[in-house]
Amino acid sequence: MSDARPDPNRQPVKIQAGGVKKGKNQGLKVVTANDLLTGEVIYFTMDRQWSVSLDEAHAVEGQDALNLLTEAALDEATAVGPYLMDVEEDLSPSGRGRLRELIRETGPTIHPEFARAKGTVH
Amino acid sequence: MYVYDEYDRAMVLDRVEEFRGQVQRRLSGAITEDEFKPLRLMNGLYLQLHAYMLRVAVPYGTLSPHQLRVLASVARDYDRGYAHVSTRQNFQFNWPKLKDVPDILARLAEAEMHGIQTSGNCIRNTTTDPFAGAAKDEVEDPRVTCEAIRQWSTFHPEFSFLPRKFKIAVTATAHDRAAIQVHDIGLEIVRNEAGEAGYRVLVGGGQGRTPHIGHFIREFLPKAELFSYLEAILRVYNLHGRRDNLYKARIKILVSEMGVEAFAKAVEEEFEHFRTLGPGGSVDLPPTEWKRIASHFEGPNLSPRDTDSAAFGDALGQDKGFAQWVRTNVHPHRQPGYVSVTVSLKPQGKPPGDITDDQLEALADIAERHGYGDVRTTHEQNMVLPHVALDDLHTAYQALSEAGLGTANHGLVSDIIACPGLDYCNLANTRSIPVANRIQERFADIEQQQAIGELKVKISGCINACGHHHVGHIGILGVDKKGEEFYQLTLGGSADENAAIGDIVGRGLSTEEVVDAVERVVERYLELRGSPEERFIEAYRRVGAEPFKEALYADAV
Ligand code: SF4
Repeated sequence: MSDARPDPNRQPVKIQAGGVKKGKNQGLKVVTANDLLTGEVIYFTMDRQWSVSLDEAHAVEGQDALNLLTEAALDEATAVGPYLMDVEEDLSPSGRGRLRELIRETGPTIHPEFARAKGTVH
Repeated sequence: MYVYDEYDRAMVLDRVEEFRGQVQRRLSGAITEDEFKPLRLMNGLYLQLHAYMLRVAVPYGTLSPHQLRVLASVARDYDRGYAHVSTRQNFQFNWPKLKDVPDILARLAEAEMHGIQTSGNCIRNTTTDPFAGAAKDEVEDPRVTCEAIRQWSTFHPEFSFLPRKFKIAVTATAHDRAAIQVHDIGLEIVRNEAGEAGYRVLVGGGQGRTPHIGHFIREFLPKAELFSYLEAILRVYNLHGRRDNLYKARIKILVSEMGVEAFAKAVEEEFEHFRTLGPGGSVDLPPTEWKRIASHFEGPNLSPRDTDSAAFGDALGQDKGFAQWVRTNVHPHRQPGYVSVTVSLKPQGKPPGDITDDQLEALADIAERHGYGDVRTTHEQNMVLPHVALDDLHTAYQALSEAGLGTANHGLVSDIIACPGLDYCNLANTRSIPVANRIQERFADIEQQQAIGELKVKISGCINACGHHHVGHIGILGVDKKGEEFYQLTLGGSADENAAIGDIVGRGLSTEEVVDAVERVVERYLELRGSPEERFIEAYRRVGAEPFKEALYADAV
């Protein structure tokens, strides 16, 4: 049946919320993962590269978010465990996983000396 | 300590090269992440929030100075200059790069260390009393049993894919410093009426989301039959343990669903089966093998010394910091004139259990100079020098202090167990370490801490309970409330021979509230304790939770 496609907004999707859990695909998302070689936090950009900077992430909604995740997951040579995370319009982390994603973005709060340098594109 | 034989060495070196090949194939794309993940986990390599994490096994928490130096070199050359002691007496590195891990493992293997069975549904590192071999009232050195278990459980083909991970702890003193009652199997080494050493066997303890105190199912198991009995327990678990539900897969759930008696009966039947095989047919160790293993744990030759050390007495009178440290961090030794020392990894403001590369090297030097070359990790995330002569104690203290390892807080409110929490851990709800640091700051005055006395605060960033909050005198569990960090307090838990799971005492507390709440609990304890000798846990048992609830939620409507 041609109209049997699941509604992308209702489809459970790998999304973080205090540990990577299934969540609803609602609102603006970016794809994030860890770098295969270093384990470092990375984000999928508009030109289908990975960046350590959340500022460079590509934010999309609905079916576009699922498509982006599918594309990102194909790049096993760079990324481990890609998933969708919630962001605000300005790309700051939002939703239930906000604190987790803030810590992922900036480094452990107990080690300011390990704060992350941003902007290097992989 | 135990020295690898040719089989141990060959197995570990083979494993390093095997993993090197697996990493290469992952990097070349020959295998997928789904294929690679279980392989890296079998070598202790996790992926956390910011980086990989490598867990290195420290069998029963025993280390040599050489091993400390190798750990320091890994921290320096491949990590960010520090390592972390876990609540399973293991070491963890928080920042290794995947391509470096085979080289790290090769370096560790040269010093008889590895990451094998530090992850996965297998038998994990057996833990024990950090004062093993030195404790005053010990039946025998429990590490002999731990080492025998290590050899039996390493790559055990039948028990490599259990329903869930499996943890064993051994103690040989009446005062349990190994938390055996919250383990899948706890072994207490005891003597029978004939004076023979054997085991009191406990099963089904555990923490996590459904905490259980274990049940003793055998009051005396002869030493010679240990492995038949362990094998029987594991077989019953392997056959009947649930594999359909991750949260119900631990042996504690099986024991409680079957009932203790039915479980014990099933074990006895399996045990009888092994017995019928007789010596040579069963899995038990022959006496010669027990002897061979025991010969590695004879310990240093400690010449008798005077219990009245003038050097010690003088230093006590002259050095106030030393006197404070002696009060909490020094423990009786079986040999007169010697003590065991807890090296605190809980200085104020640092992540509990972290130790830098320089500190590891300093500790190695101190262990060589004053500690007979023997060092331990503890499940409370500290380290121990088990043998120090009283005459050398002040010098050792000064060297430890100089390295930032002389904090006088063992067993006090600032000696907090805290899991990595949301600063590192993928599964966390909340942070743990910053809460620990804020409590340490609130109780910064060491004299005040000593006046409060023994108080075990334990913090977990989620219900998996790696920070042992269920058995903290004050337990703190991080919970997620709509994306905000909240903390649930439990009171009255204990991990010793009077083990107890703490009582939940009310609603979750916000990050802003939680340290004040701990302080209110401590203040209420100080008001109601019968005397300064009545410890927090004793006072709690006497008066119950109510007075503390009142203190905690007095303002609540
Ligand atoms: S208790 Fe939870 S947050 Fe803490 S280390 Fe364990 S899994 Fe992670």
